[in-house]
Amino acid sequence: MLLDVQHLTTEFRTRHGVVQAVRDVSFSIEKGEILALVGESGSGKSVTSLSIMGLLSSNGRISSGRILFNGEDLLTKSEHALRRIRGNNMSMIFQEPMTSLNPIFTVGDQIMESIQLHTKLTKKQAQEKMLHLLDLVGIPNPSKRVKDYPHQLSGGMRQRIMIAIAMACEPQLLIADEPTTALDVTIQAQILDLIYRMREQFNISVLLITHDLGVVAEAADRVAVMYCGRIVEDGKTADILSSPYHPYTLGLLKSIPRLDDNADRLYMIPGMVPPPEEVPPYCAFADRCSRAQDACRQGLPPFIALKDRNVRCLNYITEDQ
Amino acid sequence: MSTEPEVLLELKGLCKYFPIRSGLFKQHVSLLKAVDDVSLKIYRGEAFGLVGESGCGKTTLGKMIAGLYHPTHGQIIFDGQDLAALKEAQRRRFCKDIQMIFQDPYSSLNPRMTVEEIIAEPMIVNKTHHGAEISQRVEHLLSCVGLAAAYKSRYPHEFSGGQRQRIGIARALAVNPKLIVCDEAVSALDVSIQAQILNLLCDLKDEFKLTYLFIAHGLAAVKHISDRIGVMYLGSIAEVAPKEAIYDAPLHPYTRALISAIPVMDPHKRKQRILLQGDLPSPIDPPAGCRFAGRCFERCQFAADKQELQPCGSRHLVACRSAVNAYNARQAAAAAPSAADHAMNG
Repeated sequence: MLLDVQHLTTEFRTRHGVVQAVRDVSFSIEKGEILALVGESGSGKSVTSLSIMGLLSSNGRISSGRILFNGEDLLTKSEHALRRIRGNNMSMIFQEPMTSLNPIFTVGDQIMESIQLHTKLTKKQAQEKMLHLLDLVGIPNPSKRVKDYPHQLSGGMRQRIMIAIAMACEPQLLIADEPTTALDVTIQAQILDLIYRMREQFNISVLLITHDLGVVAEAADRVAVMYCGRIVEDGKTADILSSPYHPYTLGLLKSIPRLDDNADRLYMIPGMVPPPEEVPPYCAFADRCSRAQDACRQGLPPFIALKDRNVRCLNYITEDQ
Repeated sequence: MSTEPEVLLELKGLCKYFPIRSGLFKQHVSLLKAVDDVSLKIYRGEAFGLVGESGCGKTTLGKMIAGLYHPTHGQIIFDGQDLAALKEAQRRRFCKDIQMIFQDPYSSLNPRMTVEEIIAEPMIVNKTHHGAEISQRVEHLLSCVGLAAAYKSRYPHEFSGGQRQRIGIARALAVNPKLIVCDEAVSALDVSIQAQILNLLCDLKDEFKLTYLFIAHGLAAVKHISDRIGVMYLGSIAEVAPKEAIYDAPLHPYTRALISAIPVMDPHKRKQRILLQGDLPSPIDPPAGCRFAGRCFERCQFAADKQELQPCGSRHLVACRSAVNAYNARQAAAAAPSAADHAMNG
């Protein structure tokens, strides 16, 4: 097991008081596995990834839980030790590659920086490695492109550069936070294909954060669905997407317009996601759920372990329904 | 074929070029051809979906129709009147007939105006309603888009993204438009909210007898709402057809690649993907022949020729010579055996 997150709770100080963005989240990733964390905006999926990287903003803190990476708890490490792990052993790519690249340096400089910070290669060796990396991520004509500034590249190219920087030190874990959301579908297909190839080639593990269940179906081995800061269902992608047990997962799947479906009206989940300071002390989905019973509003449902998945629902949907 | 339905909007050879000035004295050097020679008909009461990747010119096209850009060449014939030929003051009369819903519900509402002021503004500007009528209509519109009338004194920041988009829709409906240009109206919303807004737009279309031009890059959402779909690539239309034909039997290689790139939800039904190489080329000095030639996987012999939209069947138009030829060959092959049967029976 490469990454094991146990009972992670992350909170933020805000104008409305202390707000929990991630509540008691546990999951693990094996070597070479792609786990997707899926949910709508505000579900806590990005905060989970930032907590793992140790990149929370100054008003945020991890109030409880453990994050074991290769068996070592990241939360007990010093900032100095964490810096060695970040970049070397795990790295991250973000949604908007334009804002994560520095506009005043060439992309070559930025890749070199990452290589030279984390390895002891000579400048010449580092340059060779850079060209090799760019070739690997499918950038045509790398020796010319390294002299370009980020604004001279397209969105898909910039995301490839980000992946090249992330892969520079051959990390064991790649955290990809909405890596294709800002891209067009044809470019999205290329980038997903690239992430998949990196996994095959280097046996890295990927934590894929996304709101798009289509991307999950294409890329992930396992999926964890988040709602209001908690994981409500997790299991193998094929199991979850073909027969969801949690009413929220089902609602999410049904509300996506599908190409192979000619229904006149889309299914709608009534109501909306409660703001984080108003999440009820019982099942957060109960007020939007058609299967809710009195018991659902009397306390938090436990995370029930079934044979192929975990589900946080008292009245979950079973196969025969 | 039955008679052609009534045309509400017709575009004829519509172009929008942006000059790129550079060098000493900012001498005019090249043209960015955002929209290049687009001809299109939109029928009254239909929802026309326009899809394409970023930079293909779909938003520029929408803005020209809504009057936010003036076309470089070409005609925009709306209800029998060429809007492109009108002077600014004359054109303003048509503003109320064509309204727009924008992508970002956060930046398209003025944060310093209440919901009532936002929805009332088009009625005041266009002088369509007066006095107490306006306030009543605001309440009516709010209920139409599923918001409580009590919200009218609130400010935009008090609402979620989906609710803001509802306010934007109410504002567009205020002056009883004939055509609504929805520019990526659901792209910024979460899936569960997207479904609510798409259903709302479908309901309002019948209730207010609207025609939609629905611009989006998400093909699945467009399919849900549209009757016909146009696919845009690099400033021109690659294919136009009823939605069933676009999704079940796309002819243009770009449409085929675009549809195959959509992730499928069902992991057991993973399809063969056509992975396009490279990016959308720059619309500054686009390729002279077929616009898609640089990324096309078919590499046909017509790559150097300019491709015009040609009919394939009664309601399907394709701008690809080799796809049209293949279609005609298939039609001929399908017709031939039955003709032979006929001859034998005769």
